[in-house]
Amino acid sequence: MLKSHFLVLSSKILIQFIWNIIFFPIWWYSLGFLRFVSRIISFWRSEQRALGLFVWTRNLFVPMYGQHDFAGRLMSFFVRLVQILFRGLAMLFWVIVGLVLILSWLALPLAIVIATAYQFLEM
Amino acid sequence: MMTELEFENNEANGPATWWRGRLIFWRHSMSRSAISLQKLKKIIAHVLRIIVVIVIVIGWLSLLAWMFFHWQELSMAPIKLLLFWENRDPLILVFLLSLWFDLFLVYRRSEEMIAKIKIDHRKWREDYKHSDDSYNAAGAASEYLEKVLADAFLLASKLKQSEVSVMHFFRALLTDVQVQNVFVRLNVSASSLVDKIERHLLDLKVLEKKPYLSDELREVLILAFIDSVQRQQEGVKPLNALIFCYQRSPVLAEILYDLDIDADKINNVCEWFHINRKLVLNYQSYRRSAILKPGSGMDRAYTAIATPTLDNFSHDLTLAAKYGRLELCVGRKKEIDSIFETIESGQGGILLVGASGTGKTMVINGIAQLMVAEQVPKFLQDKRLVEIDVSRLVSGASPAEAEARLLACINESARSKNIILHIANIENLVGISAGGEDSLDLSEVLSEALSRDRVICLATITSNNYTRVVEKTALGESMTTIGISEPNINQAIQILESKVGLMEGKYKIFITYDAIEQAVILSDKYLHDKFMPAKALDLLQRAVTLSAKASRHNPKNSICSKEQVALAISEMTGIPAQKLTESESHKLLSLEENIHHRMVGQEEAVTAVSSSLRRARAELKDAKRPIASFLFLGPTGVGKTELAKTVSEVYFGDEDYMVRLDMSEYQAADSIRKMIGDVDGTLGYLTEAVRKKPFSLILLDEIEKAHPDILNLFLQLLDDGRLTDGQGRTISFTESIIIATSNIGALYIQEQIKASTDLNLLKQELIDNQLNKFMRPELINRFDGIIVFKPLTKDNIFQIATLMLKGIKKRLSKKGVGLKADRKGVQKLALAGYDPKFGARPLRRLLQDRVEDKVANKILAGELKRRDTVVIGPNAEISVIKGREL
Repeated sequence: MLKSHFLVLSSKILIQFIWNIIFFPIWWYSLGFLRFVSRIISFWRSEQRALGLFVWTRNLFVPMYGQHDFAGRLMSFFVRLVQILFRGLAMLFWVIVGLVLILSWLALPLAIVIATAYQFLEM
Repeated sequence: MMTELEFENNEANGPATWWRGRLIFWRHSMSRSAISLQKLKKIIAHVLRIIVVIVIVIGWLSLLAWMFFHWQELSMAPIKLLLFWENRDPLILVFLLSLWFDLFLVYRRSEEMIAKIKIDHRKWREDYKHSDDSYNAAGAASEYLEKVLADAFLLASKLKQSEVSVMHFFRALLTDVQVQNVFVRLNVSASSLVDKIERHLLDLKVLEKKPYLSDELREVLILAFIDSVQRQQEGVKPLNALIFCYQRSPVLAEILYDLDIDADKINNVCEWFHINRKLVLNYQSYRRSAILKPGSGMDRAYTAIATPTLDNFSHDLTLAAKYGRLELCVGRKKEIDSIFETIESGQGGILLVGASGTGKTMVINGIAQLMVAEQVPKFLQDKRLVEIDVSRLVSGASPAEAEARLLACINESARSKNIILHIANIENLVGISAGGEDSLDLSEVLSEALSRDRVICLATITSNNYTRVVEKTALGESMTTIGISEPNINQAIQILESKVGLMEGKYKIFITYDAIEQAVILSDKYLHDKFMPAKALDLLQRAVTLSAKASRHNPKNSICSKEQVALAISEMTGIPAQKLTESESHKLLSLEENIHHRMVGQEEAVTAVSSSLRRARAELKDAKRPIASFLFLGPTGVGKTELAKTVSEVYFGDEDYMVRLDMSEYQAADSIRKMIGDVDGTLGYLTEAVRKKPFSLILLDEIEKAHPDILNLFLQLLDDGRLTDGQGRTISFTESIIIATSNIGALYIQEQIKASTDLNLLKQELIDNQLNKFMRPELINRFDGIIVFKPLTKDNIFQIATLMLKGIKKRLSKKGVGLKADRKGVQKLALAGYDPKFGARPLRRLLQDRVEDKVANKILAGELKRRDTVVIGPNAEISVIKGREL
């Protein structure tokens, strides 16, 4: 009785262990990838909020500091344009960083396989 | 927080209840093997994790070793480091293989994080459309709860009991760290609790069947699940189940009751832990968003205009909140929501009205914090909350200048469009006006600007200032008032709990739950002119400071318990500390004995007063009346006042706790002012005395002499236990004993006692035919007891003489002089001083004449020195025995 119990138990655990190892690569390219991408997206969102890029673009034609005269509007427009340019560049940098990270996620297992295979290749 | 849910029972799932559109049940298949499997799995997972980490470390070490061996090549061409994999080297191979373990670790961590979230809160919103209508809540159990359940199951099967009851579960709960902490805060020793529960478990029936979860336990678990959904938790934790265990198991409730724990206490302590968890979560998300709030006065789009004048006379609350300088606001969601709704409905001016100390400023702070976290309606997003400093606005300026400044500030904030104004204590603006009598004052300037410029302004004012200064003015009419009410006892306890963490950290003191509860209860009882929660917080702060001071001398004792709180309040109010903690029952049981230590005779009166006091306290009657109230009737000199003094000493600890009012001084109708004060600021003698010392005995001497209007005052006092004084403050008399004395029917009493009439008959006759001529029957009825004092007997007088001589002896002993009295001499003195008409009064005079005066003469003449003894001989004559010369 006790022995059969033990057998059932250990076989259950063994099956789960093996399933873990088989499932892991599949997870990497499915669920894991989606979760990683969603994290990168929320990272982009918070960077966008920090830079206020959308706020600046939305208000491109709204004068700054309540200066509603023509000169104020004109100056505001150009100042905002310059601001948007620099903030856009900063945002672009973070977008590239994120993309590189996503690509690395996809490439990493393959790279490891290739590099390991290379170790065994004859010159 | 949860309305009572109805459970239905069906065969398949056991008890179940409908909640948010689904039938919730708890089905947990449990067996020893399943529990062992779980345990084994956990151990294997743990071992696996350790192996993975070791391999990862070995891999990276290999890479470092390879770099070390090829240092020279690498320093010549660093690019080679990136192409490390091109080198065929066992070290590189080890590193590459270990990288798989890195990825595996990422996979496991991610899965574990997801597995922790057992409740999908999107599916539990009120409006969610469910595809299935039943739900097994067992799936939502956190890892800790699973463990507790497994322990409970193993415990039941070890005791060979087939039903896993709430008690088994509770015993297992006590192994959970958080639940243990709850009992630590409650100052309960875990071991005694465990003992009691195990003793109960051993008494349960033994049935050798496979154990199953009892219906009550499943109900507890379902309720715990609902609680954890309402609290937005990731899973059901053991702490969620604690209060429901108490509710569903009468035996457990009894056991905890013996340890002085009731439902409120458990609930408040559990709430404490939930509040702390929420505070941490809120704080984290708040800090994250605070970084993004602009630090300059500008909005994010830079459309606002600069506000130099306003900046000069104000400070920015959102900025203070951004840098974490404001205290966190707890439990004012309802008020804040109603403020938002009012603004949304187009009302620009909002006035928060509440007594000082109820938390008006905290509500404003809370809004500032919500604005920083941007968790506010759209019209408040990306705005600043700016407090106008009224004192700076008016200081050093003529009224006209102040008005100009205020207008400039309002103007700027109107044009800037990103400013919400806050004015604390707005009453300070009333009454400052420029120009002649007809010109507007500052508050009117503000109220006009509010309606014209659509500026949003949040102002605060205390309740009595509101009715006194603002209510009928233009300002009061142009603003919407929102009441900030005083929290009730449990809310106040929870507010204090949210602040305790900071105090504990600052003073390195552990604060027990009892201390918090006591701070709220005692401040509610004794600090009548301040308001909750500020007064309770003040008191606790004092108690903590006291404990911190004490722990400096004795570092082991760094606990603030209810004794320290009692000590702190006695420092604040003068009420003796031990009176607050000493059990009243002991004092009440030995009342007669204690009274007779200084009171001779009048057995009936003493018994009547004592039993009346006991009855008043034990009856658990309405706490909104004085402790007790008596009317003492009897001839003069029989000990009415003496008994009042004695009660004051025995019950309150000192004669000084007696407030004596000679009612003959209140014969005119307008003397009511003398008693309760008036609007002009004259303080009432009675109300002021009780306000300062709520814990006191009030003696109304010769009550029949007072004006009928004043007697009416006592009607209310005896009934509600409170009076309103001339300034409109409510004075509570719920901690006082009221004793009125009267000589009405003194002659009648003497006659009837001589004729040995029954005392009860005599009393009834007095009430029916004598008292009602002076006092209204409703007043007579309101006294807890009417007590008739009998004339003194010769025997009484002898005992009183002995007592009085004892007093003289005590005074003489201070001068180093002794006193000896012959029994016969004392009897002679007593007989000479006896007068049935005047009671013990003539005796006092007699002792003055025959003893004290003579002793005084001898002292002055130098015949009586230290170590001498005064002797009262058999004929009551005074002589001196010379003491030993040194």
